[in-house]
Amino acid sequence: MSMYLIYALGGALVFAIGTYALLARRHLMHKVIGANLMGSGTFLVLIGLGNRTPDGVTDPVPQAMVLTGIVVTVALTALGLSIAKRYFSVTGLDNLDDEPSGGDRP
Amino acid sequence: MMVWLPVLVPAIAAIGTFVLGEDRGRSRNTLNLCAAALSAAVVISLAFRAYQGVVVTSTLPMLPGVDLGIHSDLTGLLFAAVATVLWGVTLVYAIGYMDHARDKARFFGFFALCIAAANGVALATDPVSLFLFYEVLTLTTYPLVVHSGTAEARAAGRTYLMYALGGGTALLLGVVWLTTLAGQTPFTPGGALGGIAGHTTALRVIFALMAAGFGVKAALMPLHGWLPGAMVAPAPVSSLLHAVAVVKAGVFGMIRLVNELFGPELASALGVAQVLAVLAATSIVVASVIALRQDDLKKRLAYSTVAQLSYITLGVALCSPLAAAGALAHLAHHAFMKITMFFTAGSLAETLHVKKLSQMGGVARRMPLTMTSFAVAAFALTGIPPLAGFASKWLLGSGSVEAGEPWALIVYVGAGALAMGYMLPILIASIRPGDQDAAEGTESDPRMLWPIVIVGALSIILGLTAGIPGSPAHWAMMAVAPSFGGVTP
Amino acid sequence: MDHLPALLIITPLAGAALVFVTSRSVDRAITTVTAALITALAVLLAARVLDTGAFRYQVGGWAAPVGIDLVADGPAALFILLTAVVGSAVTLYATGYFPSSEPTRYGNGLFWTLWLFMWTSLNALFLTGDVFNVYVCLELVGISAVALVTLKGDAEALRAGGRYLFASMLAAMTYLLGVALVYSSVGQLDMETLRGVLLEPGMAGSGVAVGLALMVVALVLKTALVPAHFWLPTAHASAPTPVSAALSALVVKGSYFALLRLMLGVMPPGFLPGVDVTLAALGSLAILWGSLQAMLQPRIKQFVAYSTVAQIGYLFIVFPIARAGEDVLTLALTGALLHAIAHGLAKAGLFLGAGSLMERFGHAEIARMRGAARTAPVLTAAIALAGVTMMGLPPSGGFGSKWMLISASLHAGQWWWALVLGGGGLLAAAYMFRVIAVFVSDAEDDIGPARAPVRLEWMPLALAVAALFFVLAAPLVSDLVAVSTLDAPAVMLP
Repeated sequence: MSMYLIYALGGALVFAIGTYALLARRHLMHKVIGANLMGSGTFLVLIGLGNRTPDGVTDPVPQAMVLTGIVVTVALTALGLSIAKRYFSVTGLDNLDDEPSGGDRP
Repeated sequence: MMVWLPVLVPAIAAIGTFVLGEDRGRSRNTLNLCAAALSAAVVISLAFRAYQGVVVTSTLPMLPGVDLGIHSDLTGLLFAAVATVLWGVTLVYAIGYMDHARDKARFFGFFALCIAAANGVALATDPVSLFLFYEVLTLTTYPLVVHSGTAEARAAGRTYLMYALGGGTALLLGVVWLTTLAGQTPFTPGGALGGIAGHTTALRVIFALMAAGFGVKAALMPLHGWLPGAMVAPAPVSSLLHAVAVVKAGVFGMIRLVNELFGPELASALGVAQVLAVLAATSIVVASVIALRQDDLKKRLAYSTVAQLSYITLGVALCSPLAAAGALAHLAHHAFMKITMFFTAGSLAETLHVKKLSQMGGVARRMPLTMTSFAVAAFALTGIPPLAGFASKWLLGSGSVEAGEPWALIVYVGAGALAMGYMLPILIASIRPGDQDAAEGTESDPRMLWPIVIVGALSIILGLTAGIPGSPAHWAMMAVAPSFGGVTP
Repeated sequence: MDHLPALLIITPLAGAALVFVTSRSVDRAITTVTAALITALAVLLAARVLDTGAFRYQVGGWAAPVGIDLVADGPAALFILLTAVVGSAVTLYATGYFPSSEPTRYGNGLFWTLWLFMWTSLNALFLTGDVFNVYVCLELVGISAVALVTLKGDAEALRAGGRYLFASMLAAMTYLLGVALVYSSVGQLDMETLRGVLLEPGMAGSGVAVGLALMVVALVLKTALVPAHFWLPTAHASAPTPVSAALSALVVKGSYFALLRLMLGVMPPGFLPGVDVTLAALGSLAILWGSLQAMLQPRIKQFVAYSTVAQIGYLFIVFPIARAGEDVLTLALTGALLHAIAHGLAKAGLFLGAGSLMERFGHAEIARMRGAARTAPVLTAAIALAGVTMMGLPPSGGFGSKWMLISASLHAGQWWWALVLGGGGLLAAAYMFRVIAVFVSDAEDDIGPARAPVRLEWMPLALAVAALFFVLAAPLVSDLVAVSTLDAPAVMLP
């Protein structure tokens, strides 16, 4: 049990780091990576806490959840990266907080 | 089905008007006039049946536990008749008045919708249905108040909305609370709240909320603030809506509230009727005094309306058969008298560009028919026999004595004197030599002139025929009788 | 028609795939046909639910807890119907809005695919009966919505889309963590089973509670409840008009529906103490804040978006009231759902009308749209009539829901919410009439001619009118809501 608890606590820690990155860091890449970290942390928690069946047979459901989660996160990351890339090419900025110069109002 | 027609016919006419658009004036006028005639015919025929005791009810399921209902009782039909008949008359006047104005389709369309809503208020079976139509009336009057689009009009519109929607919210809270306590209670002569009479505090607050809601449209001071500003609207709007439909919806709500929801007994027992009576009496006096000092003709008439409406509210609050009959009769009589005067103000403004008393010198010579009709209506308003105003005031006065509240009689008499005080100067101003003597031209456009003469004449006729079945006064007595167990004039 | 739930998900998905692979010239046709099909299916579902009660559908024949169950009860059918009606209206509008002759503007071809894909995700979200599936569907909706927001490709759209994406990811990851904690504690994902488990003593205060709390927070963020609303106004305002309409009318309702399932269908009363009241208090704050901001916005789509922020607040007032007792639950729930539907219709009409008005005037500033009542009467009527629903005035659906919620709060003895609801109507009137007053002004700002096709003018009006008379449909809503409480085998709501 305590082995798995380490995974879970580690996952929670990674999740927290990811949340901080997503919320507090300005750079778009940092935000995207932060979101990814949040996902990874959650997966760790899932694997860590979810693997506790009494008779030793692994519970497949958390693994299914993690796989699904990875797929979804990949899609979101791809979207996030393409938005960041496009935004950079349109405005030359790497964060969302600075005002873009020039006419971008419709 | 027929009982829905007074609401549906004007509504359909409105849709037709919007669809026809700005250019098809002849078709639009024909449509509206036919709709007015049809609605009036339906209302009168329903009234015949109601006189014989036949009341038709029809409901439509709406919210859970709450239906939308319409019924053809005498009280409602009197208001509906006034609104529908005067709609027809005002249409003729408006067609003449709005000849050179813009956005006619919008004007006539919303006009018709207002009548539909007012008829809905009149014929609603219960507070919820009445509330629904009451709020729709607020919405449909707004475009008419802001019709000209000027900054002044829009400001008046804003003020109107603040008052009307504020009052509407109070009314909503009162009605929902009531429905929570007692379910959907239809208006019943003599009151419908016997089952929950024990909740005295709740009932007092509910009454206050509902009276506030009705009080806004009924221009009960201090909720009257929207009315003088709303005079910026075109004269047909001021005439029909602010002398007939909108304000009468407010006092009509009061009548339903006291006579057929709470019932005269309960309202007196709770003490709320007495409070309402004092507020109404104060309103009468203060408004009349303010009217004395107005130079702008429409504003003077507006404050007169505030006072006259409070006659009705006071009559209702006295909780006696004769006073109630007088209140309902005055609802009708005042409509005819006041509309004559607002029509006149409109004619003066539109044809002669005269808006203030100080500009009115010589008007009587230039527009003799118009001013004579005005004079008749003015004298009627002050309560001179045998004109219409006297009939209703006599009922109200006798009702005061009958209710054991003779101070109200003093208020009515005093108000009559004040009315003379604010009406006479108008007549005198018109006779006095002045600018108008030198100018050219005569009476207004016949479409504006004849309605004035007709309603002015009716101010006489309604007074003379006051005792005859079918006249508003008699009709009113028949209508309120069930709430009190009989009326003895 | 046992496979209706699956069909409702497969049809838009198939449509999306088809649009993607075929040539651009048939995009509109395919989407319109798909929309019609979905609407028919939605009607059939509602009819089926009214007729024989709620039912469960096992995807692929795998039963819970291994498989995923779809649940079709009254509220689900209602939201699917709303999505179908508004979706069809938006589709029709979009066929006129996106000019077929400009292939590269708005990433033209992609709109249709993404739109149908979002529709798929929404339908799936409304039908889901499993908390993990909620996560998947929320993410799917989020991806398609973000992509649609950024469709214009300019800096403003990208920025709004970026913010939306990050908020979405934050919410989704938090939600997933919550699910992880719940599963690790009780080993169940199916909503109905969870409900049974949570009723056992000793459940509150464990890891489940923390997990559920995280899930609630995440859904609140997705539904843009104040103070988590920061991403919504820019996202909804910067998107192309049909997208704005869909976002405010539908997408927001998706996460709200999941929250309803969670709070009223999974968690027993009092499970997370204080959450109900907190949500309602935040809702009241939303009504106030959103209305105030709406009054201050100079640009029309931002104005409409803040109105959404305010209207969302109403939806949260239901929570403490619904818990006050069995008899109040149905009334409160019907009120909330009626509000969601009427708001959906009216908000879509409002956004489409505002968008069309923007196109005609050539700019987005309200102060320079004077005289629109005369120069663009149909659009003005659409906006004004939609506003009536926002204000909660009769005979609109907004009034119906206001009535029911006030009534429910009085029955529940929590009368203060009645004041909030009444006040909200007045605030809405303030912000709506501020705009309407500009439209009826006698001054006239320059305006372009009505853009063909004519449905760009009439679709907003149709939606607004539907919302205007919607109180007459309240009995239908009530009947469908009741189905969730009857003795159907898949009862979701207590």
